[in-house]
Amino acid sequence: MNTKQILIVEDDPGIVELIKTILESEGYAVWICDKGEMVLEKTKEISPALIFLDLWIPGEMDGAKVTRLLKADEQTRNIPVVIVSAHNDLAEIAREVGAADFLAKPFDLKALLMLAQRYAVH
Amino acid sequence: MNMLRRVGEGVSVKNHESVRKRKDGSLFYVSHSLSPIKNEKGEIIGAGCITRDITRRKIAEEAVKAHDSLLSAVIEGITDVVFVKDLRGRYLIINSAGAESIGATKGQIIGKTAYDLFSSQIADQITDTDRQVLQTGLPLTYDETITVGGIERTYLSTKTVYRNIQGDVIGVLGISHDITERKDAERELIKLSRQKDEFLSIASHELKTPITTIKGFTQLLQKYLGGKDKNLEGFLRKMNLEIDRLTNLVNDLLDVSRIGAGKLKFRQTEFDINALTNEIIEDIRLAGTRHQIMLDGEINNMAVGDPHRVGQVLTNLIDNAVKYSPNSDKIIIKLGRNGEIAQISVQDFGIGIPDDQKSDIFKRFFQAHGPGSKAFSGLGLGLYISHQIIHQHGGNIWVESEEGKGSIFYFTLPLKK
Repeated sequence: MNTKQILIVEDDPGIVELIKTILESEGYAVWICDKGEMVLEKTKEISPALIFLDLWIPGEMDGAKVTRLLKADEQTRNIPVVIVSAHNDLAEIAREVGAADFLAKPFDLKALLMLAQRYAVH
Repeated sequence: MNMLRRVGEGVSVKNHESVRKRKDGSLFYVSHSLSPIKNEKGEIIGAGCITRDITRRKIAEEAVKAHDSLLSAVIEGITDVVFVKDLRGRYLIINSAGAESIGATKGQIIGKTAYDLFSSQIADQITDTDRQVLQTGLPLTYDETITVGGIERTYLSTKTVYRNIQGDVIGVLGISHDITERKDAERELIKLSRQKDEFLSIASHELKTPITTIKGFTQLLQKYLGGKDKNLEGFLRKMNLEIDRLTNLVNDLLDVSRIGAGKLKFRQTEFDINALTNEIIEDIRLAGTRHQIMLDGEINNMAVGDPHRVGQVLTNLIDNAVKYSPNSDKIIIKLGRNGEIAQISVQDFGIGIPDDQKSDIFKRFFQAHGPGSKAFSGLGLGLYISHQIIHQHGGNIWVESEEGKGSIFYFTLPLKK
């Protein structure tokens, strides 16, 4: 089986369930992480093909910090990160932290799947 | 007479002033100088007297006194700090309000400089403005904060040069109005406004989370059930459109809070206005509109700015054109250029804008009213946000409109050189 693994970093249960439902319906295996501090560890453990990451997650580590951390670590550097947020300056933030792409909340189902197809390649 | 007795004792009297009455009853001032006249033996045998009429001098002196007391009444009557200083910065005059603000008596202040009365930092600040006024010869008005006894107060001060009758600059005149309370109120207002902007920002983020979930699950319903039932398909499409409308309202609120906080951000890239306009028209058509949107002209140079933001302006203008022309079905969009400037216009044939509202439509929270004062829906933010976006791009936005005939909204954008 070459089921692609996708990690979702998000703390809102409604959004988590939504993204999980959409992605699983398309055959992706979905992992959830709701704390910034645990993202690096979790990423190393499951080595996902793609990470959807909310900018505004609880704890000391916000989405921007987490992305920088992932991009600084050799083991996780090449895993694409897509920033998901309700923030209006998303494009700029995504570029600054080295994310592959961004998805503005609220998003279209099609847009989410398109990003999954484009980036979850390995 | 006293004077004569003294002369009789051998003493001279000089310039003894007194008031006399003329025969007609009017008064006049005289000055007497008396000296004893002695014989060879030294005995006093008489007195010599010179009497001068000093009425004119006396009147002049009275006038000066009256003038001085008027000046003093005026200066003391003013509740602001009033002072006069000489060229070396020494206080020549200060009123009671001034003395009180320094926390000293007038006697302790007159003849002293700022360095004798304030900390050296404050004195430097005071001396600096004195110097500026003396160098330029022009009045200077500025805000200054002065600390006396650990208490900080802010003044709106004006200093100007002090000239004598010959026109020579001989010092500095100043007046300072205490604006501490006003400044505190302003600071409080700025703080409250910032809190409001932060609140709006958090509120719109928070609102977007449930909107995202509702939108997502609605689209999932569309995917799984929509094809099976025509009615259901229609309901779900409407729900999706309404969710988009809600999202736009929340985005407008967020934009306004960011404009207020000076944080509205723009990308600076080159983009194709023709393609952007076509995309937006296509989106509006897809969302379903009764209006026929016609596009006329093209702009072959790339525009410079944030395509997302410019698209927001164009969408807003077309949405308004649709909204405010309920009884017509045509909207004309024109693209053109004037040298290095692109001009885009959106024309409708709707209700138009009354003359008295034209200057207000780009203001925050302005709500258009239709005939019979029925308000149209919306937050009254779209044109305000559009105005801010276009101005921050270095462009212009304006309207030509006739009530009952329709409106043409224009905006300009810089093109790539």
